[in-house]
Amino acid sequence: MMHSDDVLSLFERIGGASDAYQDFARVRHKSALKTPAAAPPETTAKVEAAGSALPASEAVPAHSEPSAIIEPTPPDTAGSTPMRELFARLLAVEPAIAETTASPLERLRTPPGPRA
Amino acid sequence: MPSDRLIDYYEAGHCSMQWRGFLHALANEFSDALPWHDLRRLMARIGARYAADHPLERYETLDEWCFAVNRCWQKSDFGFAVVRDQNRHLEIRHYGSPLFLAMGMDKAQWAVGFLEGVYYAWFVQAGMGTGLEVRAETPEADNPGDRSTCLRLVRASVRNPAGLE
Repeated sequence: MMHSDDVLSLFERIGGASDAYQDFARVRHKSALKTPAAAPPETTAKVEAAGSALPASEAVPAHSEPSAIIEPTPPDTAGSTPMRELFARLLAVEPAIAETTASPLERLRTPPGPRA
Repeated sequence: MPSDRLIDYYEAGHCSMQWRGFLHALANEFSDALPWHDLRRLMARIGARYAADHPLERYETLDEWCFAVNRCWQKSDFGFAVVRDQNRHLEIRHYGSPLFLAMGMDKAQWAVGFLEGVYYAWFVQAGMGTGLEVRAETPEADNPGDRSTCLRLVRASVRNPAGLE
C-alpha cells in the first residue's frame, strides 16, 4: 500500500516536473525570441482597430512571456466607429453581384436545437 | 506582422498535446463522412455556439469590440485578431489559432468555418441585421508570408467564393 508520504512525494515530483517544464518552455521561448530571424523589431504582435492607429507603445515588446504577447490593446474610442454605424455603411455597399439569396451563414440565425 | 517562426511557436504551445491526437482523428473521421462544404457549415454552427457561450464584454464602438474580442480569445488561448476597417468591408486577421494544428492543415478548408461562425455570431450579438456575411478569404497574393486567417465582413452576394451554399 502506498504511504501518504509517498503520495505527497509523488505530487511534489509531479509539481516539480511541471515547474521544470515551465522553466524549460520559458527558456525555449526566450532563446527563440533572441534569434534575429524569429523576432525582428517590426514583428511585435499588436492589436489594431480600424481608423485609430495605435501608438507605438501599444506594440507588445518581443521579450514578453508568451501569454503577454497577445495582451489586449486598450480601446481608443476617439474617432472610433459605432458598431451599428459600421453595419449600416457596409450594408450600403453595392454587392458584387445583385443579392438574390441570403448568406449561407444566415442559417446560423436558426436557433440551434436543444443540447443533449 | 509576427514572423512565421513566432506564430509557429505560439500555435504549437497553445494546442494541448492531450487533445491533439483526438482532434486529428476526429477531423479525419469527419472528412471521410461528409463533404467539405457541409463540414464548413457544421464548423460555423459550432462557432456560433462558441460565441453564444462566450458573449463579448460591453462595447459600443469598433475599437471596443476589437478589445472585447481579443480579451475573449486571450482567455481561451485561441490566438488574437487584428481588425481593420477597409471602408467597403471589415477585415479581420486572426493569428495563432490552434485550430489548424489540431485538425490538420489539410482540413483548413472547412475548419475555418469555426472562425466564420464565431465572428458572424458576435456581429449578430452586436446588432448586425441581414445582408452581411463573414467570409474567410484566401491569403492575398501581395502578402504571401502572412500566416493569418483573413476573414471579411462584407455585403452578402450571390456568388460565394468560399463555396458555402
